[in-house]
Amino acid sequence: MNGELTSEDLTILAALEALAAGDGTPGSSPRPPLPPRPQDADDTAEMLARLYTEALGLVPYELDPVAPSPAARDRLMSAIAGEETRPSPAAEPARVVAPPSPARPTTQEMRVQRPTLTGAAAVRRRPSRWPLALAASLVLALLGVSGWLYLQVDQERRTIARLRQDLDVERSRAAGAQAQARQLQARSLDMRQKFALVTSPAVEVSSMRPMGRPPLQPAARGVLFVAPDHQHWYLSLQGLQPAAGGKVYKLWFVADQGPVGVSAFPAQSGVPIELSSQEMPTGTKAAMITLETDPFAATPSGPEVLRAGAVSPIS
Amino acid sequence: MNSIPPTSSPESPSDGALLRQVADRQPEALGALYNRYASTLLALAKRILGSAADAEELLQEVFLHVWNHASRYDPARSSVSTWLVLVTRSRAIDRLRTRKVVERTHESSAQRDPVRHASPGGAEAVFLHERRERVQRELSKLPPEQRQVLEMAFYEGLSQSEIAARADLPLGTVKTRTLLAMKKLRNALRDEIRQLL
Repeated sequence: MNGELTSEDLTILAALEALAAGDGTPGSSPRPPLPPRPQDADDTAEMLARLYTEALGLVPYELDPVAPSPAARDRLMSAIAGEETRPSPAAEPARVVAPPSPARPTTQEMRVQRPTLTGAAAVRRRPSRWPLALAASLVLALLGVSGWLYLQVDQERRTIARLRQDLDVERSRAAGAQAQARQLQARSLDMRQKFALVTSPAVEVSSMRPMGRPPLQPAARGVLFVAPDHQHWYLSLQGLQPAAGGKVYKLWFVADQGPVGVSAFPAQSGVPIELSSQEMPTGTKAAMITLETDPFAATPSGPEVLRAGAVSPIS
Repeated sequence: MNSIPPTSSPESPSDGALLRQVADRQPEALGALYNRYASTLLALAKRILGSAADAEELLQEVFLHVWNHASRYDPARSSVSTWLVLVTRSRAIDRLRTRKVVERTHESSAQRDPVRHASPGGAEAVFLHERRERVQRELSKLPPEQRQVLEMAFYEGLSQSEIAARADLPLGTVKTRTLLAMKKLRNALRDEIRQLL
């Protein structure tokens, strides 16, 4: 299986492995590792990774929606407003007790009591004030302790959230390192396979030459190596200039049923490009590279830049 | 029929605009994002965790994460919708692994908890309905064996090796099925994806 993987396949597998490792948040984690690819094909590879990420993001829309309870939204909004998410009913009576109403008798009570207050009675009633003052003090102290505890809990909650974020970051780093190791292994395997192909005594070789009058890319050239099984191939390109206007180059194999799109790729001045795969359409008679506006075009629509002129031995 | 993405709905701000407001600590923006995506994210969390109560708790956690880390969102990497989905999925699977209740995912929670259908209303409701229908239709076209590996990877967070072990299949077969499923899905949902880009 590994031998047949294209850059696109590796992009998909890297995205899925990153998901399996818990690196599922593209906006808040290091960039997911990209698979081995032709040099400086970052734009195409990142675009592919983005497309597959968005495809994965659409998967849960298959599920029937489930409405959260109204209380859930209220709790969320309270939490972000820094309020208690669930006010404790037990705290309510404490606030009722706090202003001790007996300490302030009503006007009617005062009218009733005042004529009966004698000196001895007043002396007897005086001690009854301090338990109320003590109760009020205790209530205030309890409120103070409650507030302090709330602040402590809130601080602990923030610490836990921060530690959880740190854990997420570390997990993402570990996943990134693992994926990078896998990427290096895959790249090494890929290079060994290419080397085996180009050094094979039975390999068939076809040169790719500039097309157009005058040629669109006179300095561009390429060599296509095809294994005896007519499936495994390797293409080396040089001298392709960067495509202007957001266009990309696209490789096509011309088979019995017509041109078959293989891969779209960008070019950078002075940087060679390598493409390979272990699949080639049956009956391939030629290969060509065109300049396309849509990298996903099913048929070539842009001008032809390079063509493998004599590829009859390929199929 | 063309669908109306939330990012271009005339009567409501785009997802990106809302997230920027959240980063500026505007609670009403978070409330708007919640109204827009909570029912989808809750369905996802419930699908993974198998419990409505756990899912609702996780949903709270996800939106608190959004509130505290909205500035970390990178629009070059994914749409807001996908970011929210992947944050929810990642946290749900973390929770699942922590509790070691993987087997619970095989039980349908639909019978245990009544499903409440949410409808955000207006153009967003139309858009979400169309998106749901399209995704359901395209996923149902996948061969069962391809859909199985895709669901195991997405909803259970299993690696390709773990899927191979669980399904008793060669690793190469699992990779082939996964790649085919992903490519079909990407091609089938091309229009939806373009609206997210």
